[in-house]
Amino acid sequence: MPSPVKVEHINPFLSATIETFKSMLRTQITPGKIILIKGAKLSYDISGIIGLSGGARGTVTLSFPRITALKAVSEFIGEKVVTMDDTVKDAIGELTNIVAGSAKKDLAQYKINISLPSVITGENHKVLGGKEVIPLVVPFSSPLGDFNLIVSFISET
Amino acid sequence: MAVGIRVEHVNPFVTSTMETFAKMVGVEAKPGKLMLKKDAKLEYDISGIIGLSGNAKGMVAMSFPKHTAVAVCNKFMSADYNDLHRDILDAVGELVNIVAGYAKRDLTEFAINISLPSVIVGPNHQIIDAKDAVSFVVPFTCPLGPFHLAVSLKST
Repeated sequence: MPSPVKVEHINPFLSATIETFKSMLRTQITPGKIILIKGAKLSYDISGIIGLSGGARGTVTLSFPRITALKAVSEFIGEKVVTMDDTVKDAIGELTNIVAGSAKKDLAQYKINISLPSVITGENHKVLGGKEVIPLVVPFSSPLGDFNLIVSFISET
Repeated sequence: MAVGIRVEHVNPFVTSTMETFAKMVGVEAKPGKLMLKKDAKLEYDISGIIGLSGNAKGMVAMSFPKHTAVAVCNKFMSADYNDLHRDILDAVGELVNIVAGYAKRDLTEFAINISLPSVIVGPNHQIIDAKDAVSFVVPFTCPLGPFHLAVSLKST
């Protein structure tokens, strides 16, 4: 049976998300209680996913309902967007990239490399982990709306 | 020096998909014509996706219609589910993990490491790659149904 991601491994991603929203979107976001992805009924409209490899393997995902994504991207690019166009998709990928890049600095001992971000669109899609570890989900609330951070992480050492 | 991404770099993923299906699923998977992803509008029910990093960055995804995913994973696990049971979803993640793990051995020039897999479930979802990457799609057919392999790479 896989065990959940260790809380100490999720903290750098949690801090990086808060910092990124503060510096890039001028928005204060508030983390809620961390939950296990297993059994959680979580579905989204757009997700940015990035892989982590090196001395640890994992993934970081930022998943948004449509309305939160549009508001967040409007803040990020400084221009109001109202439809889920390529600009929104690129921006969600870029946000995920910034969060992963920033978190890896606090996980220097694992010598992590990050992959390219992929963006998933599709109403009510779900993002799950594989068999090796149970991802943790951090639900965030913000003036732009709610969204989730999903982290899977295994130390290889 | 950065290596340009060429069609040949997709071949290890195509070969490893064929081998994985032959050995682990027990069916022949036949690749169709490779396409540039930007020319294809692709929607799926379930995808396994895994990140690549090293001297090249990117991702590999295997995307299935629901019926293919259920049939392939049932055969892979010797199971008999008739819907997207949690075990089927795990098996999709495991398949993409195996395919990426085999393929990286043939891409030594890129010294690739693979991430953990993620599994996406949702009717008609799309996967959009980073715009600075070169993205290819290979349609496959097998006796259990059609599916797609997508590879996106950028040298670093």
